[in-house]
Amino acid sequence: MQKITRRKVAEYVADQLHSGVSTKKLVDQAVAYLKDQGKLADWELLVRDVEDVLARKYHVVSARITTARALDADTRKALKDFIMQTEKAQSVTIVSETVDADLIGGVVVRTPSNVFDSSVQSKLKQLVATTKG
Amino acid sequence: MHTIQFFAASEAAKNDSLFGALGIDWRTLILQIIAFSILVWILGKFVYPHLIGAIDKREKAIEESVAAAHEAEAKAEQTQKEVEQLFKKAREESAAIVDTAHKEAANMVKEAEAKAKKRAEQIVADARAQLDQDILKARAQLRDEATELVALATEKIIREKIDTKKDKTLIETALKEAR
Repeated sequence: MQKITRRKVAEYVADQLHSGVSTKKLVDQAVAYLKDQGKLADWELLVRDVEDVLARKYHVVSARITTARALDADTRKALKDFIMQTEKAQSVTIVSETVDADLIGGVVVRTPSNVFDSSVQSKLKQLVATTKG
Repeated sequence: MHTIQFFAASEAAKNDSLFGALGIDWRTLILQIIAFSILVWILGKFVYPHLIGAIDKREKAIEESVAAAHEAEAKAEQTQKEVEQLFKKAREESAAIVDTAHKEAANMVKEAEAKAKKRAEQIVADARAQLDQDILKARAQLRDEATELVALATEKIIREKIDTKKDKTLIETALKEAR
């Protein structure tokens, strides 16, 4: 099999997804390719690359959200709107919602190109860092 | 006594002369004079020259010895003077050497003192600098620890204060501020 870069594979997968090809079929192809190359460990990186291509090329933004408590529908919608607006996205997909009590409060939103962190934990860390100088 | 005088007078009368009166036999006297002259002549001819030569030689030797002694004495005096001069010079030189050594030793002591003083000052300065650094470090560490404590206390308080409703408000406010 011809050797191509992970970036090229990501672009192919993103194009296929955008054109409506079955997600399962694309995942099987990508996994087969990575297995053939002996790079299955790069699966997470490939997924991130696909998300990056989708966001950059098709304005389809995937987001990972971490909060101290489970999100309710209103907050989830508010977050989607926020991401749509700040990332200038046509659509937003929340890939994962993680509850982490260490955040204390607030939210952390990770998109392929940005990280929005308004958690109490990070604010406290910033405060400590500023005070320590 | 009278007997002796009488005897002498009678003998003189026998000789009928002055020598006879004096008891001298003129023939014997002539013989004695001749013998004496021969003796003087022999002595003058054979003995005296040798004796005088030996005496002169001895005198000359003595004079030479005396002269040599004088010369030796003079040389000894000269040598004594030279030795004294040498001693004097040696004393002066040794005094100069000792003086120089004293001065050098004093200089060395002075330099060593100055060096030790400088070193001591450097040690004190280093110690002060180290102390200042330690103080600054300790202050920074204290400040950091205090900050950590304050942060921990704040986190604890905030954790207790924030409920689901307040958390939702917090998120909404953050989103509004970020737009």
